[in-house]
Amino acid sequence: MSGPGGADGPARALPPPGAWVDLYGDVLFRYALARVADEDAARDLVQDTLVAAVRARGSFGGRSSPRTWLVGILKHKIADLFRRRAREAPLDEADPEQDLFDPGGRWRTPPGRWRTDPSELASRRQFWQVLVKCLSALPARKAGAFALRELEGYDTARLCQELGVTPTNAWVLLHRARLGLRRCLEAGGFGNPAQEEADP
Amino acid sequence: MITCREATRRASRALDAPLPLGECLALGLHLAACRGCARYAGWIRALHRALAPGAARREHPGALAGATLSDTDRARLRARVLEAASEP
Repeated sequence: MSGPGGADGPARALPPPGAWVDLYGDVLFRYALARVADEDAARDLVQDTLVAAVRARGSFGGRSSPRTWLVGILKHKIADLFRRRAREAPLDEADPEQDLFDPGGRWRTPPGRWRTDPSELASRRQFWQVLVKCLSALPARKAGAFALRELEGYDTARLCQELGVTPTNAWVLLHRARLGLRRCLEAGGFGNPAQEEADP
Repeated sequence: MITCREATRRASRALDAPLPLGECLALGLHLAACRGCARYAGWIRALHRALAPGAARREHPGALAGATLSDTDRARLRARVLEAASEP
């Protein structure tokens, strides 16, 4: 199956499938959990990944480590999940603009000053935990659109294709996701705390 | 002058697609005059950059270091993997 013979030796050979769960199960589980914030969904992703990997094990070429190869499969499964969630969610979702702006289009409470240096956000461990929680609290279509766009790097064209929406709809979803996320991240201690100072 | 509601829409869209010149200019004027929207625009741009694939460390090791599969999960997963491995 995973013939040896490579100069790289055992590191590049695929261990027998029976050992995968012990070798890579937790790595895959944490990777998935960091993105979906839902243990049941993370477990399902690990299972889907391992089953897909077993079926595709003949195509493991040893160009990357087994771990990298499995994480690559998991990434596809995660993107699939976001896509499915976004597609299956109801269309009529709440519009956060109603809460955030008055009828004249002005902020009800303008964003305040920065609490965290934005360039440091990504390296802050707590930030990721709060982000994943906030994402899972968003309605599914917005969360899915945001995750595909910002975490997976889809451009508008690909996003529209995956979600079956027009560019305008995609931008509205992303805009509402950002409005909702700012409010949630702010409550979690990141972002600009409102009410700290009013605009002149 | 566009409203704050419209300015935040445009600031968001500018992260996803090029903004038509006229819309872009009106947005710039608004942001120059409105501190709240300038902060919002800066915040979503920072988030966009922080999350961009490859631009940042997204593995964040240790963030969930305590999370492990239970023994029950392992047994179930192993059984499922072996079942798949025995498929023709």
